[in-house]
Amino acid sequence: MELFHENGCLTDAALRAVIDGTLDEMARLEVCEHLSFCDACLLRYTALLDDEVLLTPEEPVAPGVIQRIREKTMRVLVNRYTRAAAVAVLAMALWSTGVFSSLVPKLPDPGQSGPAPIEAPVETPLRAPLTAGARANEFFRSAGDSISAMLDGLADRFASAPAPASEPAPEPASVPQPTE
Amino acid sequence: MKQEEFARLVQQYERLVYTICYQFVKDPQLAEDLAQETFLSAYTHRDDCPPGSYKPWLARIAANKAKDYLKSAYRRRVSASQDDTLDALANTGAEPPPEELAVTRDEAARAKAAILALKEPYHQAAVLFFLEEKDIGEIAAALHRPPKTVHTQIYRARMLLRDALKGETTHGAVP
Repeated sequence: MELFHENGCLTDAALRAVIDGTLDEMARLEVCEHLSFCDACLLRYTALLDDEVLLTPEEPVAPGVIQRIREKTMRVLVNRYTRAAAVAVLAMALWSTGVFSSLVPKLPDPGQSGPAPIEAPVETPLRAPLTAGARANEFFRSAGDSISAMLDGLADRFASAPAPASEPAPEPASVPQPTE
Repeated sequence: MKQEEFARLVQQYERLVYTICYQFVKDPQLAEDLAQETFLSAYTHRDDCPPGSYKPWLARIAANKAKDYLKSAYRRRVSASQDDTLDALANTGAEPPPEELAVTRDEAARAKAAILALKEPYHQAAVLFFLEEKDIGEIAAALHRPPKTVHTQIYRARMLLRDALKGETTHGAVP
């Protein structure tokens, strides 16, 4: 029996033989291989699979499939959250041990205030590129410095303002009295 | 597509998918496993399916699953038989002399005849590969077949040719 036409497509006899179950293993492999890429032959084949031909599995397939999908989804979620939690714990551990701060050069202490001496301009040396941890550390440090500078500024403003108790009561505005 | 919709799709097409798998692998338990694998693949790639084309789409995935199984079974068998052949060759102990290894004009003509006598799906691929010396990519483009399929077809064609030529030799040697 010829399974293939000269153009490489399956003959009707081949498709019939698949349904009747009369092909040997090698022929089934060849037919299956062809059906895996040829749309026209696949449509011809599925058109032959009507209700009379369709078989029913001993066990329904759906429950097993749904169960496996749920397990897979759960596995993916657990992996994702476990990874995120592990990263967070590692970051916290590194942060608390001060690894990040050892990676960046120490910035000048913000507590040293006063007029900065005028110095001749000095060429700043080229800085080595920062690592991600160092960049994060620098960001948090500068954010902390900004916040403390802002709080200091507010405190100075309150301190320099006159105390409300010593302030004389404001004179009421003089209202011209009507002359009698 | 939500899980509930997909569950309905599985129920609607489970007989079709199971039948395709069974018709190729001829084993009920294996067909059930392959049907499950088919639906799992379908679920993973459910966004790739054009709407309303579930039947041919699922049939294609099922055929692919069955093909993968049959291919691996074939490969196991062939590799086992090649091991036997190698063992047999090793047991003979002696290599053929170099003059016997050279392909004579007569042998080349016999090989060409054997290539031309191959049937589809191997004929066109073998002619293009062995006689016209095209590469796999060119053959795949010319025959509208996936390169992987062409590769396996060339491999199997080579096996068929070897068997055919060996058979001829044996036939010629034994009166």
